[in-house]
Amino acid sequence: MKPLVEGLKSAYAGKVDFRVYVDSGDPVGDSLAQQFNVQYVPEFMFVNADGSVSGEPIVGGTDEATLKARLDALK
Amino acid sequence: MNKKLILWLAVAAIAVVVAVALAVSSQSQSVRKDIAAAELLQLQGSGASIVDVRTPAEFEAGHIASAINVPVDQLQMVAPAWDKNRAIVVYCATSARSAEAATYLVSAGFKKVYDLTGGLVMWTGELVSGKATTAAPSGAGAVKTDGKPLFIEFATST
Repeated sequence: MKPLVEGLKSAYAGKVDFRVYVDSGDPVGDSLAQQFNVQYVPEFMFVNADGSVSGEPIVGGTDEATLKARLDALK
Repeated sequence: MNKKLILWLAVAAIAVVVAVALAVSSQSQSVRKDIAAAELLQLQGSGASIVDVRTPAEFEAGHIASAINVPVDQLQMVAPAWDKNRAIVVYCATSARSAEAATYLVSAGFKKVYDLTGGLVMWTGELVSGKATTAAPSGAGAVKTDGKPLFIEFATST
């Protein structure tokens, strides 16, 4: 998924912040994973500017169109 | 000093080095232990991960509080991303699947692996139902942002 996410990161630069937490050990990532009961990777979460979670997370593999649709829906 | 004495001293020094290396090695080896419910509660209190290796349907019907659900057949896909030094307690219905899970976790390098003896059949404590143990807040302010929408990916390097 790395090339896909990297491409989206460039395409949405300035509009959407991207955070990628790889493996455990990052306190912020671990805390978020615990908060939202992340059980599988990859898992994608979408958060509006006000910090509210947008829709359900996507768990497992996905495609560019799906991710773009979710990113475009963020407020 | 004669040659024989020097040789014996050299052998003794090597023996000491080997003994120290073995001692250090044994300390870093994995621990696998079958535990009862009381010990699970203690480990839970000290921050151990509680992993229910049954199916999602079984998990939703009732599971130990704070447990996460990773079916045993999916453990090898998910566990490599976990902290291998953190204590992990696995359980299932009867401890058949959790024994398999514990064997895998030890082979994968997890240092502290515990298996609930007898599984939930022997568990007399409280069970909770539902997909998630706790409902995470999802409204405004649930996640800290820098004033812009945010995309988060949880990934593994493997």
